[in-house]
Amino acid sequence: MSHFGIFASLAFVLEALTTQPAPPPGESRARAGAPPVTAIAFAQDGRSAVLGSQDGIEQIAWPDLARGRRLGSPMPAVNDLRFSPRGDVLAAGGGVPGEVGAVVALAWPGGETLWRMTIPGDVVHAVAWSPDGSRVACAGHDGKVMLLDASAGRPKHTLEGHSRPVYAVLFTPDGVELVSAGGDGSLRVWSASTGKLLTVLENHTGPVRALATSSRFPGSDGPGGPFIASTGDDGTVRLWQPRIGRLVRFVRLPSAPLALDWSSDGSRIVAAGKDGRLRALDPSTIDVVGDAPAIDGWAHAVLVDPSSRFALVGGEHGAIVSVQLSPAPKEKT
Amino acid sequence: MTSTRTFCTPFAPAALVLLWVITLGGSAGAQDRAGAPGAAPEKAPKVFSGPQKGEKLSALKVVGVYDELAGEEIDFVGEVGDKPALIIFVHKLTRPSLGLTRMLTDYAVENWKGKLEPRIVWLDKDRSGAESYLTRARSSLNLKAPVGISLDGEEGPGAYGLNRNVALTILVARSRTVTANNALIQPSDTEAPQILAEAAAAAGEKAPTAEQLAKYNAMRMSDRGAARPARGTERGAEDPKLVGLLRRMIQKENQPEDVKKIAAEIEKHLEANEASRRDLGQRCRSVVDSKIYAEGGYGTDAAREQLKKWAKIYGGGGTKEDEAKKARI
Repeated sequence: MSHFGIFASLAFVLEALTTQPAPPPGESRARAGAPPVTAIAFAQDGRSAVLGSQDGIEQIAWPDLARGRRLGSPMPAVNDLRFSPRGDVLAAGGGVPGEVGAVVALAWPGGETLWRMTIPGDVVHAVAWSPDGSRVACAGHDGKVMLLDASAGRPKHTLEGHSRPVYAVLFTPDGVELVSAGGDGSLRVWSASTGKLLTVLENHTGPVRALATSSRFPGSDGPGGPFIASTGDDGTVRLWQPRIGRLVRFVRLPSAPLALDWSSDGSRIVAAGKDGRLRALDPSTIDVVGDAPAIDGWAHAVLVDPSSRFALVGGEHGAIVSVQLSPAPKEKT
Repeated sequence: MTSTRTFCTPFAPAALVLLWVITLGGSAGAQDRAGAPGAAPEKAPKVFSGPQKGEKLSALKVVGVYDELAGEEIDFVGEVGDKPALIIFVHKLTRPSLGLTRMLTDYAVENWKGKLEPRIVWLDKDRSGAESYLTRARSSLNLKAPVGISLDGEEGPGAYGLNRNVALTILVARSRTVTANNALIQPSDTEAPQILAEAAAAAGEKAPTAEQLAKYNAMRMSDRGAARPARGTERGAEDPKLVGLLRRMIQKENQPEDVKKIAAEIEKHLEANEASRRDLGQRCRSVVDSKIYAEGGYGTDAAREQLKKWAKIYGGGGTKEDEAKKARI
């Protein structure tokens, strides 16, 4: 792998035990000076994904990672991309640091702009769709979380309480709560319907950079969901039961992760960060069950594909790499 | 650190029962988490720390401290196996946290030998510092249960999900499954009857009543008293409730309203107790005249001010410094 500018499809097998096929090799080319990939989202057609960066939004084929069309640059820096639950709208969050934040909704697959919401002051770090697709939440560097009406982008609630920038936001899988996290080291759990603060989770000892959620927890004797995973500068990945305000368990990783995702089957949490490695965790034990190099430099984005078999990692020099995950152990009956 | 205890006289049971009822009735309120900036949650949430009732215990690797376990790497959970266990994680070393730890583990060692396995887990990532302290302070800590150091620090092993904001996490387990969990921010001896009842249930033993526990403690204190001269002998009989309340009042983490509340409790306790008023006066007098007080010791500013006030009311006069000022005037 060349040090500068790699856009590659490399299949790293996290554990030798797997027999699942890796994606076929894709296009590989140097992109010297390319900005880092900061956001990834899988389209519902199962054949494509979108990448966000300071170059705007780019569509790629999945699983071969072949480059597709460029959707242009709805904002100078794209920090997050999320498809609506029906897959017909793509929300992008970003802006110009220190100047303005923006959330843009694009029709999918057409790419037309449906609405744009600008937030004066600073960038939007993250966006999230409510499970019913009626609302979009955005997390701002100004320390605020905004709930927008997804049909027109009109603000419905502004949630204030974080004392530092908010880096991550998501809805619990049943849509009852909204969880935000940020530079003040806290996770805040809000009522998604009223915007009232329900609880504050304060065990992290540094800024919290990423969140992931799951309604499932493998193993018949595990605690009840929904669950949140969080990670940040303290190098830990922590599992929570946000509804009761409980830290369930945590693990300390050798390098601070910047991105996190939870597979849709609930069996794996993946984390990637400053050392460019991808680590897979078993949520029922919080043990690291896989560890492989992914990006030459910082990894800024990670996402598990809908089949829960692969993770897509994006990072420095526009690099994007797919990593095969080991099969999850069978659940106890 | 001294190891004087509360609940050590025959007069304690009534107070203990009352405090126990108050504690059980109001435990949720007593376990409020630290405040957060900005908007506050609507209700004080329950504080969690460690695996909850019904959840399995994973391996608990520690470094042994005393006797044949010294320096050995042990898995406390694997070693105890399916036997009933009382596992106490010490996140913060305070007088109340040490007092409760000692009371619970001593009771288990002396009354349920072979039926319940008590273990103390010291949470400290500095192995040599922890070993050195625990060895140096062994006689004053006076812990009878096996002690191990978890080198994961104040949050303990990640698989346990311990909350570093509490002082003690106390688990009762049987067959490696948690049967009771207590996460205590401000531990006190008043928690002991409830926790021992949970431990007794796991061990298949009869739980001590509050009165039996008070008698047991009185016996322990008199045993310890025989071993060394009792503190406060010159003051006559020690009032254990007063001592306990004073200890609570001088905790560094107390807010001014906590100090006010405990001070009011002490004043109420003094109302019908002439001996305790004298005891308080003498204690406060010796405290405010001490070097530690002069250097800013004995709790928060609010607590120090309250001690000075009582020294004047019940102990006669102000501090030595005040007296010196008067003399100059």
